[in-house]
Amino acid sequence: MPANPNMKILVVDDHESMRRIEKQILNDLGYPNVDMADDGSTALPMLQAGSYDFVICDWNMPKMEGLELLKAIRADARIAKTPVLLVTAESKKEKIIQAAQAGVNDYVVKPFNAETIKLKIARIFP
Amino acid sequence: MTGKAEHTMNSQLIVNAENNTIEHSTFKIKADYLLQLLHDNDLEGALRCINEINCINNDHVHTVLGKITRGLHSAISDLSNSTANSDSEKNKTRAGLDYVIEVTSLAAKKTLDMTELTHRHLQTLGTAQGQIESLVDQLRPTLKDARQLTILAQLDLAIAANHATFQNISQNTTEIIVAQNFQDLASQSITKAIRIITDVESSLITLTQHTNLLKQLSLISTSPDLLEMSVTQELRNNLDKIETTAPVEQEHLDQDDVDNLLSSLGF
Repeated sequence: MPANPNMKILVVDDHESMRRIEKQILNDLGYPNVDMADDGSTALPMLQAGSYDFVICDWNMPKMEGLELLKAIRADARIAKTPVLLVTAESKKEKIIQAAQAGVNDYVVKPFNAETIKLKIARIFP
Repeated sequence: MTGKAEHTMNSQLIVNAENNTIEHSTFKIKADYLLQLLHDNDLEGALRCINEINCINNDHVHTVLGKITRGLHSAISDLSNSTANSDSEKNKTRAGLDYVIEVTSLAAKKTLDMTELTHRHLQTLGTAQGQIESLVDQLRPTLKDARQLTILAQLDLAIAANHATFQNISQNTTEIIVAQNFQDLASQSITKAIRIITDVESSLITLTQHTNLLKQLSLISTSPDLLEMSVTQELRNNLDKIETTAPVEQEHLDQDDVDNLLSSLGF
């Protein structure tokens, strides 16, 4: 199903500037419904409480990192099918394999541009 | 290289060469002495001599380790001090690299603030532009005069040009925002570098402490009568303390502690 412009997106990143950058990119791509969380432990209750259609998540975060959040999402039947895009500086092979095994939908390596996010969304929502 | 620097470097090389020569001649004297002791069947003396030869090696390793540790510590101290402009700022700054992360993060946030504000102003401009286009469209059927139609055509051209400029500025502001994601990467890399440098410094300090204590213990075992038993026990206690607290990287010493420790070890 192609991406719905009104879909609700959650951006999770501990760096405020990164959250704002990702939100701006999504707005520019035509997705105005973007919420933000600064850590996996903040994001999980938001996901469980709200009906999010898509999660864009950093890997390295304090308290609960991206991979843990991904596993928690996949382990919760209510939100298990939510597509997750990991956006991270971690580009080591074993990390990508770990993410794939945990059920990530796609993986963007920083630094990235708007076009990359656009392509990934198109791939996740064909 | 300046003449003075060259002279200093040459002097250092001469000193190092002299130290090596002294070390080699000491080795030779000790080796000859060892041969003599073995020849005389003085096994106790031979063992003592072997210990003394080992001590020369240990001293050398200890000195080199100390110099590396002191060098790394000085480099970290210089780095911390060089990025702050005044004494009061230095006090506020935990370390130079932390300061770089803080300053670049603030710069990135300010750039984002200003760009987002520009984006909002652009949206206001876009709304105004839309209103102008709508008014022109309402005016269009009422204009019949050739001169009025010429002005209308010019107005259409200006509106189209504004529209193109609006699109360009909007794209550029987005590019400026996206470009800030390098700040995040830079801060992550600097944080990793701080951790590695701190770990290396801690490991070197531990190693220097170990070699220093081993050196002192070997001196005691060579000449037990030179030191009181209480001193020997104190050294052994210190060694135990280091061994039980290792790895030391979990314990973060502050600037003064590191300075004091290195000074107490003679560096």
